[in-house]
Amino acid sequence: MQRNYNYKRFTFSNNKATLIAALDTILVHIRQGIGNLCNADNITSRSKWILTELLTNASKHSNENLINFDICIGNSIVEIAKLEYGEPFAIQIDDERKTFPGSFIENNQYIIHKDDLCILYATVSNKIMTFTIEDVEITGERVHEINEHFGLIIITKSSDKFTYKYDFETKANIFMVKLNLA
Amino acid sequence: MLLKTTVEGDMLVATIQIKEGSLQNADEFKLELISQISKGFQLVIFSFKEVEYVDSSFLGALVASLKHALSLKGDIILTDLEKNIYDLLCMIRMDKVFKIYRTTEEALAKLVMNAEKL
Repeated sequence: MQRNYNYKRFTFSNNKATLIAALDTILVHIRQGIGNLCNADNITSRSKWILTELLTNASKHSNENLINFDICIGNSIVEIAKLEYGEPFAIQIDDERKTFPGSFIENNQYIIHKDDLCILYATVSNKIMTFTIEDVEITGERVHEINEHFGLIIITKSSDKFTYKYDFETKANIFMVKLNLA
Repeated sequence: MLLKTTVEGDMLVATIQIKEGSLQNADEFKLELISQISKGFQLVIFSFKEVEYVDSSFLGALVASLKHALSLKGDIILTDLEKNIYDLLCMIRMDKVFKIYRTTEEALAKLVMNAEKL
């Protein structure tokens, strides 16, 4: 079967006030691109959660004025890439601030979030960070020990693959999400 | 004001008056929630019937408020969640953290019934 790809770049101002309009613009594009798939509603909901968190993350953590989204829709996959220019991804792990990629050892798995609900891991391989998540078994009726930061968790759980890399040539932070259409 | 409140017995019903719960209003929402919880109600029911969309900032505010309520021996109940929001909460397992009822009326009926049993 011939593979058709539909690629489009969207550029938005990086501020709180334009988040919703930016989200709606990309969502309409994805919805039109995937057409009448039987799981179109599921893909649209997950895309909405992912885009919301990518936009919120940029608004919270990036000082850059513009943010780019590259959307690629193929026969079997939707790829959402967020590109923003600035300092590489950094996170606090065990009281130490780790900046990508230098502070991360290749093929090591890092716990970047842990509470009574889940453990969020980051693994670096070939200078690409891949996020994965593991649910924690719940023994009691109700959970109390929980973190208040859900952005990366929502993106990781909504996607089939979620990665990050830093392009040293262009100084671009590239967050890439893949959603399988099948 | 992001919340419209009514008192039902010893419970407070607070209807969230915004369509989009996001980074834009999460801090204000958290302050209002904590202010309402601090009034001494054992149970606060938050109705989401006006809310169409929430992000992680808003959910963080909700969790912070729950922790505040639990520290005061109170609790928070969520009702009237749109399917998209309910699905999001279940995906990140918030249904294990919050008590969730389909509607405010259902929550009130069950809570009153439980109180009568005691």
